[in-house]
Amino acid sequence: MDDLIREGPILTAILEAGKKPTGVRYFEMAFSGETTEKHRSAEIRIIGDDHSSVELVNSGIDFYTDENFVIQSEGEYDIELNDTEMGLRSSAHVVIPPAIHLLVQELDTVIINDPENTTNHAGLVQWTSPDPDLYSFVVKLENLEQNPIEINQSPTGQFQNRFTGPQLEPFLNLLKSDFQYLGNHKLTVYVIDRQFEQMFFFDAADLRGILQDGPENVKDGNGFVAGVSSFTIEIFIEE
Amino acid sequence: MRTSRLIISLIFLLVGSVVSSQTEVIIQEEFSDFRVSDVLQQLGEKYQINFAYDSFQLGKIRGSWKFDGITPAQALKMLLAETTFVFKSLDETYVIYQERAPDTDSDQDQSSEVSAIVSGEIRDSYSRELLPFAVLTIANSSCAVSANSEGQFTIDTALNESDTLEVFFVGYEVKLIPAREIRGKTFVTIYLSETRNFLPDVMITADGVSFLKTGYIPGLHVLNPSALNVTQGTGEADVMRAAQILPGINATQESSNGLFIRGSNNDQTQISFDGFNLYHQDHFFGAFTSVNANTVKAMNIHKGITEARFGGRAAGVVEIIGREGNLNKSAGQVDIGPLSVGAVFEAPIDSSGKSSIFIAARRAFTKVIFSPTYKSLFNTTYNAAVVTSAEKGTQTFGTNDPEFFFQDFNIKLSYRPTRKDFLNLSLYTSRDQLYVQYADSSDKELENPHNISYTDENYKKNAGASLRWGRTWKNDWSSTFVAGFSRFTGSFFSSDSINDLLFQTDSVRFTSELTVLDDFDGRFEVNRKFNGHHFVSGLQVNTISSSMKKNEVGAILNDTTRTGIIVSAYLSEENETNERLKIKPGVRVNYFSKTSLFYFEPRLLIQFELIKKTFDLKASAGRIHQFIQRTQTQSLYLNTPDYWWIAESSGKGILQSDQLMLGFVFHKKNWTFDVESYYKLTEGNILNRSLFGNSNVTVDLPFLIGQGRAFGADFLLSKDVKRHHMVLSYSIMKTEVNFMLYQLKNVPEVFDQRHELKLNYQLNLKRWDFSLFWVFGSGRPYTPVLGTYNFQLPDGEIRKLPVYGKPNSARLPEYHRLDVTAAYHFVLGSTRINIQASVFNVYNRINIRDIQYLTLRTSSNANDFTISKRSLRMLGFLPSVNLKFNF
Repeated sequence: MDDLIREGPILTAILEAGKKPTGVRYFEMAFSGETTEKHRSAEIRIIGDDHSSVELVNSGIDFYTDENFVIQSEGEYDIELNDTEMGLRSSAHVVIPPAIHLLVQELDTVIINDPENTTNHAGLVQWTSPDPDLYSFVVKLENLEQNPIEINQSPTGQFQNRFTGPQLEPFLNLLKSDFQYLGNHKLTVYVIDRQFEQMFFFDAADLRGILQDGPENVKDGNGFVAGVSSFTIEIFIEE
Repeated sequence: MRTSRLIISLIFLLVGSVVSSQTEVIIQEEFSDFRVSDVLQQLGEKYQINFAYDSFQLGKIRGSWKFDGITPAQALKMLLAETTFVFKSLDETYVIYQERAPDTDSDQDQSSEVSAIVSGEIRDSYSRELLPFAVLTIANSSCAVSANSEGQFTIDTALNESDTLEVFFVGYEVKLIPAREIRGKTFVTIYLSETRNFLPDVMITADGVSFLKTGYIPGLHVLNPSALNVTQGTGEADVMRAAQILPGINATQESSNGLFIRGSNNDQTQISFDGFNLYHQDHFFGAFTSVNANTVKAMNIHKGITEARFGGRAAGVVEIIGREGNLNKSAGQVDIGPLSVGAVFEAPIDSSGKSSIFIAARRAFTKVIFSPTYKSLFNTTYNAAVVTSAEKGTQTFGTNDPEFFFQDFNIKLSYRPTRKDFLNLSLYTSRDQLYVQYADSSDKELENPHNISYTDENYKKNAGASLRWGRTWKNDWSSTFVAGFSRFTGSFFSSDSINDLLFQTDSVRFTSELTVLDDFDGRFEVNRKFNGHHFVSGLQVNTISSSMKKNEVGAILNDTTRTGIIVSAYLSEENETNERLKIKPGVRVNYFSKTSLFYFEPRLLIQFELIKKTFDLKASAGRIHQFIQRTQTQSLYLNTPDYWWIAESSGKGILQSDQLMLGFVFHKKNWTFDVESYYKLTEGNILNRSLFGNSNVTVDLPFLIGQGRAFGADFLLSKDVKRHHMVLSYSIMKTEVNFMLYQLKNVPEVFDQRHELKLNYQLNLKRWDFSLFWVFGSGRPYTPVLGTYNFQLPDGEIRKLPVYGKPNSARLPEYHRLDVTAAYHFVLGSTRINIQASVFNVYNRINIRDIQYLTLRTSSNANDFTISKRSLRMLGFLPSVNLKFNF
């Protein structure tokens, strides 16, 4: 990348309901053949619609808070940045999606070779549904075992292929073939603002290889601040 | 530096070859049963005499002559004694031309009173075809009159016995007519002779040279492509390329898809052909225009603010008047180029000379013959549009030959039942069609686990028709009715067969898109002269319907039709009583059905003659609204056809442009120096979001809408000396657009080119024509990618995101190229033959059209990639040869 033009630095953050702000980074990019990220100092404050606010601490790598500042679902937050050195004031406004609650979980344990259930069906997971015009769901399945053992059947690990995009319906019909490993699994359902879909499922290349641009929502600056709610269930897989 | 020396040497070589003194010679020759043209050729060669003549016409006259120790002038008198040809000596050249008395066809006023108002028409002396926009001036006076698009004029200024009328038409010999010959007559037909050998082939008349003296229209240029023996371009005669010689009209795009005027996109220039609007304006993905040069009689190019009769496009108007058929005899023409073959046929329909037919057709033979010119053009234009990988070009010939062709067809019927009426029917169709397949085979399965076979099929076409009826009710008032219809269709179908190498699966993905635009334009206009005032008023109805259908793998993504009706009324006035100060105020009022609102457009054109016949000041100001914009341009890569978006009921999409122009024109002897500076304020500018990806806010449109300004100046210096014609153009400009809703300020327009310098030189030597065109342009803007950063999702996954710079914040390298053309014409029997060889981009400059960013996968993870920058090249060295046969 030779004839590049320097633009304003980039702010990123994730405001997840029930947690402290995470992934708060502020950096500029340096270009010398390869792109490198260079951390910048700035005053960063998060202000809630209940007038609660917190100034984040600069760790030298990212920004964090030790205070008991927890993001509330359906809360509205402004994240404000003041870079005195660059004379830059940027901000982002985020609405946290409503909390979702589990309604149905047909499966705690899935037995792959269950003589009473020889079908591929594993079970239904259903949760409460916020406004589908505003929000969608992202589901992630993670094996928690330190030394995971693969299921001795085929096919396996179909989950990633089946849920490649945002889900609009508030339920999942899980199959035995969705799982690749035995043992403890964590299924996380994120509810996200539909604007955030572009980030979750971002692919920089289209089919013909042309570079695509990603989403941004930082005013007077670059970057993205995401708001998200989630819940997690555990599923055990046995032979 | 070496290139500059070469150019200068070439110019001097060409100039020097014709500068020779001509001493009096005595001719001693005898010719028996010879053609006049052959006699002149032999005399010219043996006695070193310069003759300029139409060998086609003089080749039809045979005879025997004996020149016994006489001068060339005496010999010519003998030679032409029994013919309608005369001669005169001009600049060491004997110019032989057809003489027609100006009052051959005229009505004598029976009352014998001197009429203050004289109307008439101006025709070609050979074909009797009417000459649109010809100009009449009174010598030694500032009075001037312009013929209308049908070649008709009215002079309502009292003429003195000593007055002389000068009649001009680009590409024709200037005619001088003593006023006493037309006084007392109510109707005059004036015949002009085409100047094939002794005047510049293209005479571009800028403001103040001819047309400022007639129409007082700042920003107007007139072109006569039929006189274009020499063309620049990519193998096909191209009227848009010829127009690109002018300042303020971009010549560095290598596109003849309309005209890019003063930093505006080409959708802001209206192209009207015989009264209907053209939407398919190019062949071969912009390589040359879809307007067949053989069909064009005259082309008016208006930049910026125009008379009130024009409206609907913010940057300018190109008004093309198609050729009419020969009223004397049938004639034909065949053209053979490196890509296509064309033919023209014209003939009178009746024996009384009231009606004629003109037919022109052109069809590419690129489906069967892959000429080197075609291959070079195709590979450049197609590879620039289709991407496989960063360094790997698309292989379009050899394994899967593309199937591509273009064609266009024109018919014009002309009928003049009486001297007061004219009726024209003009029909037009054009089509470009491409079917191509190519493969992108992966040689790194882990990084790019797909083999893809692409199939692209697309076409775009335009059908147009217009009916024009005009009547001169009295000498001082006339009316014109024009109804035009145009249908543009663009279609894309792409099918990609994807073989997944990891999972060994096959899938097919297809997309299709069809856009159709119907444009009906009806106009009734009245011209009235009253007490030295010329009023032009009219009512125009323009109905536009634009639809888009988009499908993808069985799903209908879009199926919309938008319709808008624009009803316009206009009135302009010109005071013709003041010879020095010409003020032309006007107003145009548009009613737009989508918003149910009226849009007022005041217009003012001023010309002041500071020094008689030498120095004119000029100015224009006004407002223009544009209710339709092209928001999607044909893209082979994106598989999209052109789409024209009609403004919404909220007013979103209406482009409003307020413009001010100040300038002057200096004309002395053969020199013309024309300057126009301008300032434009616009609202409703469009910026395609795909240029830089997503914006900071969610919007419902694939583009941003802003407010902007543009300012700059156009300079034109031209000189005609003997057989040399030179045009030097320079433009300087700057554009800035603000998209405040999106926090974007001072964004340059895509076509913002700060500096553009152009030189066109033409030389006509007996049977040879030479042309040289050099253009330099500073870099146009593009949107750079600055790099990438990582964003960690709540689940811990990383997304690698590119960061684009501010839209249009980087500049491409400067552009320059040189084109040369040589043409040789001669007569064989009764056929006139023209052989033209041209070289586009002589010194093979690598010019860059755009910058494209590609992702290069470094693993099977879609987030592991590097960004590669690819420069899309424009055309390199491109020779071509054309043949033209007239019979």
